[in-house]
Amino acid sequence: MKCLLRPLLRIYLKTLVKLAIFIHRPVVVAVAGSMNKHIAKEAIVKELLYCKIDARAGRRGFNTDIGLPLTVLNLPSGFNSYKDWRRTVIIAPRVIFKKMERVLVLEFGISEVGDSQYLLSIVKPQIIVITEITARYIENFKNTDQIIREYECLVTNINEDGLVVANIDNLNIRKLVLSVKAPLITFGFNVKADNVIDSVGVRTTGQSVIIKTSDKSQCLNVDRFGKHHAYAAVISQIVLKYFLSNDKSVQKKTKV
Amino acid sequence: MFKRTQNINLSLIKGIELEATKYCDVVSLALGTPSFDTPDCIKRRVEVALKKGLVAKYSLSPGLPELRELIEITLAKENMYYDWQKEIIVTVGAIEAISATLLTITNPGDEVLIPDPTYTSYRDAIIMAGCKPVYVPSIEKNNWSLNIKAFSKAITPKSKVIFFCNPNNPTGTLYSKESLLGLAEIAERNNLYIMSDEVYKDFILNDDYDDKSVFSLAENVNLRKRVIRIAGFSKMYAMTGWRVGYMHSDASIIQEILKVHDVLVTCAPVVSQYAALGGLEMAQKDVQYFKNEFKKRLDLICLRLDRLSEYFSCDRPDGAYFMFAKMLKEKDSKVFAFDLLKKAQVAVVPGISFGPSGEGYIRFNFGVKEEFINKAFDRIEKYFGI
Repeated sequence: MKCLLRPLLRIYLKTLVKLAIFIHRPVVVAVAGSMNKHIAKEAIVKELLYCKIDARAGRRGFNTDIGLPLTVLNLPSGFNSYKDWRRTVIIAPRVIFKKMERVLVLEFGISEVGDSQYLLSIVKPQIIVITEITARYIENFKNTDQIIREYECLVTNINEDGLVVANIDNLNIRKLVLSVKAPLITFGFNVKADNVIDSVGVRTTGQSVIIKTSDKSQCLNVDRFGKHHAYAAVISQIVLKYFLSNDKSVQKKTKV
Repeated sequence: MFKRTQNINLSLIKGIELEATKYCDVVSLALGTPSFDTPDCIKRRVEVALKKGLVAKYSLSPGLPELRELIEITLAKENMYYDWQKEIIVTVGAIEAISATLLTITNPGDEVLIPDPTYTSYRDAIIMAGCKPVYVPSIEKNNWSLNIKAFSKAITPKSKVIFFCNPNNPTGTLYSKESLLGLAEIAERNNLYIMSDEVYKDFILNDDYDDKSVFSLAENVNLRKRVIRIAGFSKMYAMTGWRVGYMHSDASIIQEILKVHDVLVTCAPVVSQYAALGGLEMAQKDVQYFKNEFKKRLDLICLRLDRLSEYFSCDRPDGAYFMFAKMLKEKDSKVFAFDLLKKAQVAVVPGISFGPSGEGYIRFNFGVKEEFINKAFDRIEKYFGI
């Protein structure tokens, strides 16, 4: 029964998501990587909302096939309850006509071969952020190169006016960026990055992150601890800058 | 025979449970185990991990990255900001976190201040670390609230740690923010560490409190280098047998505790770490269900104790699933507990096992099914000839 229902549910939700995206045409920011996706995603949304850009973060995804459609439609998972799933299935068609945020920031979880292709068949992101690529989920791949190829599928399928944001402190991502044809902005402690994290100062209440680009130096105060929050802060700045300079509807609203 | 174990006792809770095995039809309200089975969503998460062959190898010593990352995200929702890469360790239940912490932050001969009464195993964990437990009596007439003045007076040059459980086991007292900050002030003044064991924090049963009433000193960024917070999955997700918990503090402390954790256990059982991951991801509804059930069981045990008002008096606990009842006609809690076990085959925990102030009290675990609460109290009534 469950084996039959799951594919049906997947097709149903996928269809509704495609319809919702066709109606509302949101700009999708995909955050992919083996870890720290959630933290980067939250930082991006926080920064966009602060600048009055209508954005929403998708809930933390538990699985790729059903999690992403649910998060785009902002619907709850029924987990293992048929009753809860029935409620979700019933309300889903109504949800697609509700107002959708201008920007959706979604986690793209890649844990198996073919995940990228499947995710791209549901939504096509304008921006892809790659946080880290590690050996997590290696059991589902032949080797690390196959994991990198999965991410390659994501970054090579992005529009010419899109953006890839990549952490080049990570060796696997350094290999990956060689295949990127769309505009690319790199970040990291690596001095070759476009946005170099020059220093991270730990204070009692958080961290001060100094970011250097070719033309300026910027200090960001983050009320969290850990290197990944420094990364998230840089990512959020890069994404914000993209919207402020490229997205016309955003420019209109923020009068930049 | 062995010097290190000379002063360590097998806790009276376990002693009572061992004694109980000698009888064939014992109803146990002793061991602090909830009656529920681990939620199905957690079992399914583990099944997937097993099928994929993920659990056969060690994890990193501090725990699976994905679990620690999720713990960080969960903590942030409760205003506690800790770096999963350097400031969180997944442990073999809360007790391993306690032992590893004490072995790290104390030196033999140090004194560790604990409220009296408090969880019985603290005393032995402190002694095992070569330290001296110093019981600080709580204020009985004020539902066992912390006595800040008494803590202040109990400080000596050897004092190193203030260690408490919140909500407290066995009294169920939820310590107020004001009293916790009072402890923090003492700790700051005397350069002490604070260990806060919060394994029951998800079971606040007093309707006067909401989730915001639960304050943890780990929320205070100024105390990051002083507070070590210990939490678990055992009680929250009915996973006592899986033996998995976690702890967090500033990196400067956690990185030192990690060395001891590595020596003691290498890492928490990986299968249990996947179970914990499943719990954090999917079992919030189950936690709410457990909480509602505990509320019903609390009402029941209160009702049953009311019928024994000649023999026991008690206050409703704020949280956890223990009723700490004062004996009105008996004085020696140990004698009473063993006599009750012998004559009525009901296992309860003598209050003395939680510290000197616990004498004259009995702890009833109402985490068991309602039928067992009823069965136990039917027998207790018969024991008293009612």
